[in-house]
Amino acid sequence: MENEKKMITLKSSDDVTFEVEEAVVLESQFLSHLVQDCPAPEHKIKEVTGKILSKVVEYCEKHVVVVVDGGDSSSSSGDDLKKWDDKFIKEMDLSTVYDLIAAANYLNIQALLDLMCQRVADVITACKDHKEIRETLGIVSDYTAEEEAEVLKENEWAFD
Amino acid sequence: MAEKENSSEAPSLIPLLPEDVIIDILARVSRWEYPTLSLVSKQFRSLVASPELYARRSLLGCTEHCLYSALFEGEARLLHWYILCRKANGNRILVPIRSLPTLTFGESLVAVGSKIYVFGSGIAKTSAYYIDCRSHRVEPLPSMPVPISYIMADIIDEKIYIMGCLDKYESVLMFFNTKTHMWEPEILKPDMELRGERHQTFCGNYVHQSMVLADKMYLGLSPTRFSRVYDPAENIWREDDMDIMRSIKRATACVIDDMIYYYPRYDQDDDDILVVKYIQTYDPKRRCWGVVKGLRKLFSKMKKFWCEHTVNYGGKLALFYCKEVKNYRRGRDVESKGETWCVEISVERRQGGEIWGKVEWCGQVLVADSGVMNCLNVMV
Repeated sequence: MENEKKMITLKSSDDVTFEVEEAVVLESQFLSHLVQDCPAPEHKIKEVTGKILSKVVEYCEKHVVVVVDGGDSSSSSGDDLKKWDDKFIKEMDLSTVYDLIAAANYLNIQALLDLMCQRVADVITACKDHKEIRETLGIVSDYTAEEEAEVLKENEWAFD
Repeated sequence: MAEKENSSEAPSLIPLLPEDVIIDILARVSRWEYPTLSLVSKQFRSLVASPELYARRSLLGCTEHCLYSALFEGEARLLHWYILCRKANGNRILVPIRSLPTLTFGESLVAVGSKIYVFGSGIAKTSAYYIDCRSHRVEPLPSMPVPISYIMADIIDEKIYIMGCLDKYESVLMFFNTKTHMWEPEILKPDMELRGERHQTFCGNYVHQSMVLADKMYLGLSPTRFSRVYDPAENIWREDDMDIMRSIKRATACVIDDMIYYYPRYDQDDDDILVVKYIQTYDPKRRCWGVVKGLRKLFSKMKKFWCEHTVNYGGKLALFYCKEVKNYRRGRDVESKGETWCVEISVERRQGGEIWGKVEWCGQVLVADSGVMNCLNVMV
């Protein structure tokens, strides 16, 4: 019964290697094309560090479409996956989230990108005002005091 | 010691992300946060005002229910658009949108997704247009095939059904396709279908109120006050044996989960308004009338107000109240400052079919000499 699974090695920008099954790689549109076009056993991904690539691999390994012999493992695994995703993002600091967004965007892994964007959106929603949003997301305001007062005036109905 | 780790470690990272990704993030944030977001930076401000962001919200399924209200102001016979907005502190407020065209009383409105369709405008009352609530752009539509008065418009399954009167109160029904934005060539004259009925024929009546229930159009007729039902699936006109529209008596009504909720009026023959202490329901499946329970406190609080409009607000019941102002319609005796209040009620059907309401929010949304004429639930 043991099917020979095709293994592929991914190498990060800082030369950390990950050996993964081909199915895992196929979660990424970018890597699928890369693997198809260039059948080398090892692929260097210059844009992603080992720290982030390990997270990407962890995510893709969990999300790889599992086809069980009976084909009946779907309904509970959906909930499990959701729980796993929640845990995956909760443990992560925002700087890692940004790096993962950049990686997921580059590697074209839509589900991971969605998950990460939602995380940032939740962080924004939890902030009490625009100053906290700036501080949390590391944004430096490019408004002058007058401009900011102007924008506040435009939206004054929202604040009081 | 490590308290500020994240913020010091990750300065200005968000601006380094591709703009497309930032749109993706902001599209997932509630639009009620957008005033706050626009204060964050110039980029955020321009993004939350961009059509791309609203298109992305649709694409991601992150749209939210939003109430657009048409209000008359003072003695002018024009209606102005307002949005029921949520403030940073959670309170609601009606915010005017002066960029949108004013409405007249004869126009009929239908909300479909993120669009509001307006029929019967212009001098000839045959113009039609729609408002894209994502951009607040107004786009013209092909004119109505024939000029009609007393226009009633409803949406069933991507098609808008427009009912109205030709001269001599001859009723017609026209169809507007919301996919192609074209009028269908067919125009029905329902009086032909109703000949021989025991009541007066359709001819001579006009539709004063309409409502969609279980994909059928319920019509209340004046002056006879009979109800009619139009079933588009079978193209059949029939009498309504429950006479729903007659019972509703022109009250402001809405449909939530195929159940009618309405605020009863005191007398069917004039516009006198009595403070009513209940919201009535009609369940077409069980064919029974009822009242929403659990709202006694609300009605004792609102006893000096009267209800102007009810609307299905994303599955919740929203009521617009006004402080009583006598003869407001005649434009005299108008108090200098009226108040508009909004109440949001979640409704729940309990075992045995009882409907229970829970007040989720109640408060003042506008202080002005104005009143709510119409209110539409839009997805943006």
